[in-house]
Amino acid sequence: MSALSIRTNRLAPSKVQRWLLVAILTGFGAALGAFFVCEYAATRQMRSMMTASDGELLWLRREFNLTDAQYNRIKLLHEKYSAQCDLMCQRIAEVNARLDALISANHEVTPALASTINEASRVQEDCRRAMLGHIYEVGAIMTPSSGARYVDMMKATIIQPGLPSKTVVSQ
Amino acid sequence: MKSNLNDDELRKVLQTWKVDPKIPRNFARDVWERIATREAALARSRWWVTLKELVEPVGGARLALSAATIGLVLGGFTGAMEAQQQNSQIQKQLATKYVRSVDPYQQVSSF
Repeated sequence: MSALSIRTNRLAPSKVQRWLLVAILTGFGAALGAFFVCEYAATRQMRSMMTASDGELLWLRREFNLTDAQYNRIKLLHEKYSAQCDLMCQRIAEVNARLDALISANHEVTPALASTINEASRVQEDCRRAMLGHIYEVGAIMTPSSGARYVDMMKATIIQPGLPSKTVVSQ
Repeated sequence: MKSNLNDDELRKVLQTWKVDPKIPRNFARDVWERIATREAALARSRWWVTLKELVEPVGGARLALSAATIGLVLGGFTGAMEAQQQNSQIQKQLATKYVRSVDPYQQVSSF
């Protein structure tokens, strides 16, 4: 008798159980689907910018709300400056290599070493001047407030060339 | 029920009456097991009753629909938050790329 009463107390798997399972699976599926759809849709634009060859300029356009005309002018300037920048890179690499060799070869500041140090400083001056010129030109194409923000963002690069970009950007 | 026996006789009869109960082996253990089983079943049934009370008035289809709606909202929100983080990271990377494209010293150091 007691065994029978115990058996009747237990609830067999019922509709409630089935619907609960359906609800859990539906909720989980919907959540998963919504997560991936939202994430994909919301990051699509940025991901395409990341893979584009001129992604950094597209970022600049977005960040400083550039119009098509402003963007095209800045793009032209950037292309022109890139050629100049390559030459500066070459000069920096050459003077650095010479300086490296002279520092290793000498145990005191020889005239040749002093001259190379001066040349490295001149190269840095030229680079700074060219960079600042380019930054001012780009800033001038933007609206005054965007231009000021742009120059402010790039300031650290002029003050300390070669400073890690992350530091510059976070400022 | 009336009896013809007086008290003394009845007492004598009762004194001669011997009961020899035969308790089954493991009687106590069986009793405790039954108690434990019944308590477990009761606890389970209480849980089920509460669950049924919650689910039955809503209806199975509505419950599934509600779960899907909640899932969509939560999933969408989490996806949007995740996307925001990713976008912010990509923006930083692109800004870094731009600064590097302008600064020849950074280009030299990355060779």
